[in-house]
Amino acid sequence: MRVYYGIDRPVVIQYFNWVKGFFTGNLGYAFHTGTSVARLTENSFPVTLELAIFSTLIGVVLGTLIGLFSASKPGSRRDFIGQFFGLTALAIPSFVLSTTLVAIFADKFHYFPNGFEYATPWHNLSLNLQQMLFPSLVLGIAVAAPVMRTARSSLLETQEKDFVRTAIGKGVKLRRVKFVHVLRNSFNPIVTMTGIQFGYLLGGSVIVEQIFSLPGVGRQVLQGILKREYSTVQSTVMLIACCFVIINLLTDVIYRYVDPRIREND
Amino acid sequence: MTKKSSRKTWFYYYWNSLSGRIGLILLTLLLLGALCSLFHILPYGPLAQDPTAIIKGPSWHHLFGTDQFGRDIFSRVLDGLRRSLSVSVVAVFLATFLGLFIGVTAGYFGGFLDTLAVRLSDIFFAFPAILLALAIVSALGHTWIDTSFAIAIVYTPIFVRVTRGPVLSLKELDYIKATKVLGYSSSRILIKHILPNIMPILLVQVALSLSWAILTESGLSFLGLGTQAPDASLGLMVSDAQSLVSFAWWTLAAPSLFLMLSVVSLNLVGDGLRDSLDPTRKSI
Repeated sequence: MRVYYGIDRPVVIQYFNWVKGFFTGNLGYAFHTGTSVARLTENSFPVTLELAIFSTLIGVVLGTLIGLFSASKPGSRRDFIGQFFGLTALAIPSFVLSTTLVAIFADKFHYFPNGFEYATPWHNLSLNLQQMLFPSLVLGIAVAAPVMRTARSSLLETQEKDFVRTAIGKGVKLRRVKFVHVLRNSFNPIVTMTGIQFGYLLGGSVIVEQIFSLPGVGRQVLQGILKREYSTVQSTVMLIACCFVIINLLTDVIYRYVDPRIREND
Repeated sequence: MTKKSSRKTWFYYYWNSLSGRIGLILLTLLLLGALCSLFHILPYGPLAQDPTAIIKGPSWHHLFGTDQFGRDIFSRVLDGLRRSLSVSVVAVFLATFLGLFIGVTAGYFGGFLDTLAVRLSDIFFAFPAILLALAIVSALGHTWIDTSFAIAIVYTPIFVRVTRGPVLSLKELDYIKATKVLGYSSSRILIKHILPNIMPILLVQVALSLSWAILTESGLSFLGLGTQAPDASLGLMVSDAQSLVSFAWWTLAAPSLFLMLSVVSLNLVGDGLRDSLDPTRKSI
């Protein structure tokens, strides 16, 4: 058995064997169930992906709207409210928010779709969406906070630019200036921030997946740690890191579509 | 004389920023609470059980109520706060020291050392923080010093990046070149001339990292991989409260509140420091 797992070889060789296996798709096996880590990830990754997409959507819409709301009148009461939201959302740990939501909805309203076994979207779409509701809300708020802060500072910076003053002077409607001229030109930092957050979310939000018992990538790592299955932990964490790098690359590509100036320079 | 007056103006600017002021007051109060726990001047022992007072709501006897073993939640929250803060402070101290050393030397000397440092920190950045911390904790163990190490390893690359950037631009400035011409040793230039100039950025980063470290520590404890029961920890208390919250809301509210207050106060202190230390950045 020692020979089979290669434990009799030096650590360096073991490491290179693992790297070789990683690139050829052999991620090792989970000892408890005997399934391969690749198969495990095949099942868990779509869950995390779905969660990440929903949370990012909620986060970007919420964050940009509050950023707009806050930046429309810097220093005013609405700015204060917006900033207060940003600070609170940044400070509230996801597990506190999740536990509170569970406490309110499961105990008071007896509504807790995550109590059932996880349903795939192909199997039972409505239950699946209900199960995604709370976790994506929690993560969405967590994403909204940095997005809001970035949006606010970026909007404030753009508002002071000359072309905005020109547009207002030209008699363009204020609403149009706000949404077309200012927002469009403030998108770059927002896209960067969203990309970073989406990358992190793809890494699986261990805590939220654990609380809402969603069988995603983060939970897979945690279970691996708790059951001391190092091949699961090692390969899954490596896969997550690869995803993160790819997302960063994609963000750079998206810039070209958001910002014509970058397209022109190439 | 000049040093004294410049320090006064710095604090004057800091006190002028509203967020800095609120943050400092909050943080001082929280630190006082944590110190009370350190010197064992809590109303009850954090581990002392009282079978006659199980799951009691907030009252004058038990300010934040009691839990399922009749332990006083107020005392436990302060004890947990002390533990979270000490883990975070040790972690951030280690990360700052290590990151500063690597970042400054890499930025100043450049070459192969620089490439190595940048590539290594890039690798670390590819892992989500909590996941990396989880993996390291699972390899190291579950005592508080292991948690500190894990968090320190996760945050070191941030300090490498934060310090390396300014050093790159600083070393091209004339007065640094002048010190080189004068024949000062590299260590003297680094400590006497470069370090004071990156101090403001570093301080802001320390404040923000402390708040993240508290979140990471409590997250690890929540998952059962940080502080172990029966010791009190804010994350662990929230985790325990999951089963109690339906009939005892205070078991969840108290640790959550303190967790959020500490993170908010550190964020505010960071904002205040940034506003006061960086004259080019206008606070709005």
